[in-house]
Amino acid sequence: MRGVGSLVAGLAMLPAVALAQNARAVDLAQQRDHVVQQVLTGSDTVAEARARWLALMLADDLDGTPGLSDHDRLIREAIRDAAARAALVGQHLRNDLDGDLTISRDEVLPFARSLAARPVWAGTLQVAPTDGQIAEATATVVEQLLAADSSGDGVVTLAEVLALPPGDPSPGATPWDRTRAPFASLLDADGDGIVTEAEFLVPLLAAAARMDTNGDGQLSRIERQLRSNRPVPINRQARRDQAMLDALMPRRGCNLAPTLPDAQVVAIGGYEGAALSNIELGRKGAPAYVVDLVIPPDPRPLAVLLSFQQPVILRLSGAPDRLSEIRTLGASYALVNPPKRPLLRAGFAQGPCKLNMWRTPADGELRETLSSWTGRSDVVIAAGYTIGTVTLGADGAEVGNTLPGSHQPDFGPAAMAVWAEMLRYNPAGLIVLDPATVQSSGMPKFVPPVWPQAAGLAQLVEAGALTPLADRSVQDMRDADQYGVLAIGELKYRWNGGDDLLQAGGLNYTQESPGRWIGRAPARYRINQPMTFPAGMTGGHMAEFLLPQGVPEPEGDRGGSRLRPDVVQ
Amino acid sequence: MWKTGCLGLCLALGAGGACAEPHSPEAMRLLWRSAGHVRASGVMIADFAPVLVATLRKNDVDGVPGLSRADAELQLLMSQASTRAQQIEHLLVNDLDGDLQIHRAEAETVALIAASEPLRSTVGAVLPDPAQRQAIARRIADEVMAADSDADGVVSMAELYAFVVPATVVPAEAVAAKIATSEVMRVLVLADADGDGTASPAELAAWVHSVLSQIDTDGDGRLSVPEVRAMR
Repeated sequence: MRGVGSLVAGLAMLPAVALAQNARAVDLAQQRDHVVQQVLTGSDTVAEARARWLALMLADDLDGTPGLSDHDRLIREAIRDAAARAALVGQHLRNDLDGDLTISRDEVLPFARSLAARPVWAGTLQVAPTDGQIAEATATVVEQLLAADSSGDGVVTLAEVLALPPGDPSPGATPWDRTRAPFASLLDADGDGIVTEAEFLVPLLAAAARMDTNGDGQLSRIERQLRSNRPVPINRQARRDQAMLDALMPRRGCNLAPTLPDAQVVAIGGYEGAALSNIELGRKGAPAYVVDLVIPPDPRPLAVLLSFQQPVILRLSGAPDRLSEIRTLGASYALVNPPKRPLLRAGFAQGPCKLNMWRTPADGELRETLSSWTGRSDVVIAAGYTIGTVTLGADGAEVGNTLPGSHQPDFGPAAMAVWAEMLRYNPAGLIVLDPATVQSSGMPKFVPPVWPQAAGLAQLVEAGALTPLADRSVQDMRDADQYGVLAIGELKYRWNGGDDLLQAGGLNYTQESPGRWIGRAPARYRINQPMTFPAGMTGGHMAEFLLPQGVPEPEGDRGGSRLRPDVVQ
Repeated sequence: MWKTGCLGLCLALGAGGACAEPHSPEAMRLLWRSAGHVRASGVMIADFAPVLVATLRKNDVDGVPGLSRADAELQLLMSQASTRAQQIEHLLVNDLDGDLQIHRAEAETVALIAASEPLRSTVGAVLPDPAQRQAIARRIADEVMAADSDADGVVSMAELYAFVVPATVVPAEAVAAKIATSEVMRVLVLADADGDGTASPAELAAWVHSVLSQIDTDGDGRLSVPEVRAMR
């Protein structure tokens, strides 16, 4: 019977071995394709993908000669064995309480007792072991820990430990114990036993060529999406791609030609106004900013195009009666000191007329767009990130970041520190307007019980409703202390550590890596009494609120801010 | 009374000093996490108390039944040995030939792997060229070879040990404080009813039982969901 069994097993083995080898090849091929995909979707350019991909090869190329050979594989295996051996020694030394590199029965007993006493899971219930079970389990664990004692003298030495067959390396202890490119053997096209850089690059470059459809070396997210059919993440790259596509598409249906052909056309836009107001506009109640428009006397009527990301209240001065129409391409607006004659046109521009104007005023593309939409080549453009006062001239405009009338609070030092935070975002401060003077053309407007954003927080701190808990210091997210800058030729590299490779003299970090994000840790406040959240607590204005037991949850919308139970108090 | 009771419960559940406040939400969260089966239908104190006692008894390492100062001292030794072992393991991965010595060439070979990472640059990832890769690997190996106190290019086991030990030994002046704040000593303060310096298994059981009985407000021997919630 036994003979027959082994014969059957022997017969079955041949195809089984072939199948296993085949399955492994398929596994490796799948792994290769998966890594290629990962590298490509994680890179912006073909060059970057190439660097990432070759890094996988480089991590296995350890023998000093270019290309992956059997010799490299042997070094890899030695490294893995060393990691496994180190894990074995580490386990052994865990119990070496007296530090003599050997372990005795007395040294392993405490660990064994601790292990044996803890409750065990019985199905879904935990059960405590009895004294007898603890004693039994302790003895078993001791026996296992001393199993390496081949000499039988009751003491395990390092030599005895190293005689054991090594197991696996400790998980996480050694990040380099596994090869990064296990599929490399598949890439040896000429079968000479050495995978060269050119051979290793083949699958990546083939996939990149399929993905980089326009051949410009850029792996834009749009191209990647076409390839992978996944939704485009909304981020800077996607917006850039969208802008590129927009530029290629003819702009149709946006007609902003002024109703009166002789009108002076002025486009005013930014992210937000330089001054915050005490008024909220719109059904959801967003903080409205204040922008001043100084209009000099001139026989021509005036057509205003607005494009702000946030609602603005436009204060008109000078000759407001010149205003004949106003349309917004962005957020809603309201007017202070409106012209006495009714406007010919007002409100949101119809059609696909959305436009971000908070780029540079000299942006040729912006001028081109506005010219084609208005049919006028002399559009006056007043744009910036935050806008305070726009002083109109005959054929241009001056843009200032200040405007008169900011509220000067008489707060204590704690509240003034919060107020200063508001001034970081709104250099012109907060302007308190009488809502009766604000004409919002049917757009809901209201005065909330507290001012928006940090101005409101300052009010609440002053009133004792909030206690600030942390400094509102600007946190530099660039980790300047953790990263050095390494200069090689024209390029500057970042890497962690490496003082001796740092370029001498020190580099201005902001210049070396423009566009890196500087964030701020959200400020924390403790809520002391019933209150209403300020409006607009989103984005950079977010904060963290701690709610102690017994204090009711505040009213209003906390935006993106966090509200947590106060467990410290 | 309540306060000590709940503190003990937190300790038993491994919360350390995180929940000095008897009603704190932190204590409640830990209770739910550690004893998830309470959630469905409540739990009998008779079943639950021995589990908590067993959780405490895993600290009883000195072989004399009951928790005492000796246990805390022994646990400190164990934790030092464990840290030491981890650090030695971390360095010993560089011993490629298994002779329990680290030669510079071995350390540099292993370091080449980490030195192959693309450099993060302002124009995206860039591969280090051979010279840069060597320089980076040498630097990483320098950190390993810092243990080579006689500078002969080889880290022996004795050197490795001498390098690691100072970092893992708790300074003498900190030992007393470490022991005083250990879980064993804090349980001891609460559970040692007769004050003989040892919380015997019977004393531990009695203490855990008294804590759980206080949560069991209707006295039916079962911790129900509303009762545990009422602690909040």
